[in-house]
Amino acid sequence: MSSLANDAGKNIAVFVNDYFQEFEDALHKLSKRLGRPLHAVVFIDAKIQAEHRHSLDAKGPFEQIVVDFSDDAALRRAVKPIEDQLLLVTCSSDGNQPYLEKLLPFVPYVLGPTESSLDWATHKAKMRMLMEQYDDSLVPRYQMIESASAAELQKVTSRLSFPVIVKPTGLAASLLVSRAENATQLHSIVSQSFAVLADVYRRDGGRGKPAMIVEEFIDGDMYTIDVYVAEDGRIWALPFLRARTAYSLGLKGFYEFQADSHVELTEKQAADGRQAATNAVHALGLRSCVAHIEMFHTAKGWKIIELGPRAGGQRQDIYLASFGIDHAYNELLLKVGLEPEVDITRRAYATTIYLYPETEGEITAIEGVDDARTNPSVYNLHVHGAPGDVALHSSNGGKWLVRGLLTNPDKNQLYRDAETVRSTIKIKTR
Amino acid sequence: MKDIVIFVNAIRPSTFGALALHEKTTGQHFTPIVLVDENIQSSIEERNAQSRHLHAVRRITADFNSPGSVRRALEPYLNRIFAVTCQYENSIHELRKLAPLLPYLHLPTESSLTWATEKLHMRQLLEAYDPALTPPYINVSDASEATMRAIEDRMTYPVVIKPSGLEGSLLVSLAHNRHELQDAIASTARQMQAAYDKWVKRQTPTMLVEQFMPGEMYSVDTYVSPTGHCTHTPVVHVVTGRNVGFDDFFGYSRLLPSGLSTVDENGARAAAEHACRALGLRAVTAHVELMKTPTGWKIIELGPRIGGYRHDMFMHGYGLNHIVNDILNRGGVEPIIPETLQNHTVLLNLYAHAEGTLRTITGAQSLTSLPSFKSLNQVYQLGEEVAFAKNNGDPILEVMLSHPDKTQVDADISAVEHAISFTVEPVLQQALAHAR
Repeated sequence: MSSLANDAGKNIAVFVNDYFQEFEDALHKLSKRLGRPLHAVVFIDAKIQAEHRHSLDAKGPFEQIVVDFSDDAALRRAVKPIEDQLLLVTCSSDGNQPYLEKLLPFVPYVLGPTESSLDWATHKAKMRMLMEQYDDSLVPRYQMIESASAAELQKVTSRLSFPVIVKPTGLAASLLVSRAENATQLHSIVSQSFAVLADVYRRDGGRGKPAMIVEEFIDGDMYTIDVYVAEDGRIWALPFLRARTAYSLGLKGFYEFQADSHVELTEKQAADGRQAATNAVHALGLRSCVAHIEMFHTAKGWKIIELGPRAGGQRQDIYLASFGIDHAYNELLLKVGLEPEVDITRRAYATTIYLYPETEGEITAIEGVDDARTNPSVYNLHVHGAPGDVALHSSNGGKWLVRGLLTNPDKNQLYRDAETVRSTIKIKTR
Repeated sequence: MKDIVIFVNAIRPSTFGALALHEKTTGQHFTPIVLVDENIQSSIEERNAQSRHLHAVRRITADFNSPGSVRRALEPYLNRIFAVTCQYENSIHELRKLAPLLPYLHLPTESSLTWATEKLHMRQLLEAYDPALTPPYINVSDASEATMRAIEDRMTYPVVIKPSGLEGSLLVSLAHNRHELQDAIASTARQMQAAYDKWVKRQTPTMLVEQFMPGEMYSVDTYVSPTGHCTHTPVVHVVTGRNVGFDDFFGYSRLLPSGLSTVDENGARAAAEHACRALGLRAVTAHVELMKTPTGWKIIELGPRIGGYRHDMFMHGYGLNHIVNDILNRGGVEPIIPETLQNHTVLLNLYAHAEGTLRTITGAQSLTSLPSFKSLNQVYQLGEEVAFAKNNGDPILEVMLSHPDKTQVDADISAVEHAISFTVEPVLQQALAHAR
C-alpha cells in the first residue's frame, strides 16, 4: 500500500470549487477500503463563490474553506491547519484546473500533476505545441491567432489548407467551435468569435488570454478515451467510446451529439489508439490524474484533438453503466497512490444525448422531459435551462439544455429508445 | 539500473571526489551528467568556474525554452536517471523549467523554487505560515518620502537593505537613520542590475528593507524528502564581517560545530523545518540561514540548494558526504548522517579592508604549514578590482582549517589573521594618480 494510503493520520480529501455526489460516494468507498473515516473539505475561491460558479451537489457533510486563490499568503494560511492530515487533493472540472494549479504548490506532499502540465493541458495551443514536439504525427497542423486582423489570418492561410476548424484556446465543451471552408468564411467566423470571446471566457473561466486556434480539418471517426495516469507515468486505459459530433450527423455545431460505449475498432486499431493516447499524456507530462482524450481515427492513423486533465463529461455514468467501472473512485485511488480497479467486462450498452435548441432565442418551453424519463433505457436526464433563458448554439457559445444517458443490455433497443427520447423532448424558443 | 545524476547547468568540483568516496564505501556508483541550458551556457559556466573540470564529466546541452529540445537531449538517459540536482543558486531557474518535463522523477514544485529564490515571496509565505519566523519587512523601489514613512511606520532603525534575488550578503547594507537609508536604497538600486547580471540571475531586480535582527547567525542544510520529511546537517555558526570590524554582512568565518547546546541546535532545526514547510519544498536540499535572537529563531533566508563550502566542511568535520546526501535525498533515499564529530572545522573568507585594485597578498604561503590547514583558494588575482560584499564583491581568499583539537584550530585562525595582509590601491587614489 502507498505511504499516503497507509498513514492513518491522513484523513482529509480536498476538492476544489466543486464537490459532486459521485465523489462523496467514492470517498465513502475509499474510507471503507482504507479502514478509517475520511473527511471532505472543499476549497472554494472567494470570487468563484461570489459569482456562484461553484457546485456543491454532494449531500454532505463536508467542510468549506473560502479563500482568495490569487493571494499566495492567504492560501498558505488556509492550508496550514489541515496539511498534516491531507490525504488527497482533486479537482473534477476543466474550468477549475487553474485553481488546482494554484493550490498544488501549497500541498506538495500529496500526489498531483505538475503546475505546468495543467497549464499545458487546458490551453489548446500549448497542448498542441507539446504534442507536436513529442511526435508531430499526433496532431493536425494548427495556428494560434490572437485577433481577427489581416496579419493574423494571413498566418493561417499561409500555413494551413482548408477546410479548417476554429476553436478557442482556453475553453472546453466545443464552445465557439466552427468549420471554415475558405478564407472568407474564416474571416467571418473569427470576427464573430472574437467579438464574444472575452465574455464567454469570463462566463466560463477560460484559461489564459482569450485567443483562437485554427487547425486543419481531420477526416475520420471520432473516439474518446479516459485514462488513469499514475504518479510514475503508468497508464490504465478505459474502453474507447465512439463519439459523434452534431456536424458529423449533418447538424449544426461541433458539440458531442452522442457517445456510444460500443465501438467497432479492431484490436490493432484500439491498441494503436491507446498508444496515441499514452503518448499524448506523456507529451504533456501528466501524472496522478485522470485524462480525457478526444481523438480521430484517420486513414493516416490516430490524431489527438483534445486532452483534458480530468474525467470526461458523463463518463462516470457511462463507464459505471456499461462496465461497472467507478470512475470517481478510481480517481481517488490514483490520488492516494493505489491502482485503479479496471474490469472491462461489458454489462450493458450505453449512449448519451445532448440537446440544443433548433433555433436560437428565448426559451419558451422545454416539454416532454418527464415523459422521456419514463423510458426504460433512461439512466438519467438533466435539464440545464428554463423558460426565459436565452438559448444559443454551441458554435455561438451556447451550452446544452438537456443531457442524458441511456443504457440497455439490448443494443438495438437502446438506439430505438434514444430516438424516442430525442423526439419526445421539445425545446421551444422565440 | 538507475545510476545517472543530472546536474543542472554546472557541477561543483568536489562532486567527483564525493561520488568516488560514496562508491568506495557503499558500492553504489553514480554517473554524473551536466545538462546545460544552451541559452546561458557561456555565462553560467564562466560564473560557476566550470572550465577547470569540464573535461571530467559528460556534458549535454538543450534549449530549456523548448520542451522538445530538452526531451531529445535526455532521451538516451531517461530510464537511468536516479536524480536531478542543482548545486548552484543561479541555476535554480533552469531546474524550475526542467521540473514539469521530468514528471516521473522526484522534483520540487515549480512555484516553491520561485518562492525560495525571491526574498519577498519567501518572507510573505514565511510570515503567513508563522509570523514569528521573520522580522518586519517591506518591499521598496525608491527612497521617496512615502517609502520612508512606510518603512518607519513598520520598523525602527537600524534596518537592513537587500536585493530580493541575490544571496550571500551581496549588496546587503545597514542603515541607522533615514539619511543612511536613503543613501543605501539609492546605492543598491544603482548596483542591482549589474549584480544580477554578474551572478547570472534571471529575475527582475527588486529590493527589501527589513528590521535589523540583533543576535548570532547560524546556518543548517536541511534535506527535505519527496514526502516532506526533513533531516538536517549539523548547525554551523557564522561570524559575519560586522562581528570582526567590517561594515559588511559577509560571512567571515563558518565554524563547525556551532557551539550551541543541543536544545538550541534543535531549535534551529525546527525553525529550518518550518521554513521549508512554509515554502512547500520537497525533494531538495535547503540551505537555511538563521539568526538566534532574544525573541527566538528567525529565518534570514533560504536557498533551495546545498550551502557554499558545506560539503568540505561537513566532510572534514563529520565525514558527512553532503553532495551525495543531496543526491540520495532527491532520489528518494534517506541521507547518511554521521553524528560523531571528527574535526573542528572553520572556513574563513578574507576580504581586504579597502576596495580598489589588488596589488599584493602576503602571508598566503605560510598557511600551508599550519597543523589544521586543509585548503586555500585565491579568488582574485593581483591587478583585479576587489570590493566588499555589500558592493557585490567576493572574498579574496578562502581558507579551510580542520583539526580534532579545537585549541589548535583557534590558534591557527589567529595565525591566519596575523599572517595574511592585502595591499589594495583605492579607486580614488588611482584616479588622482592618473590625473597627475
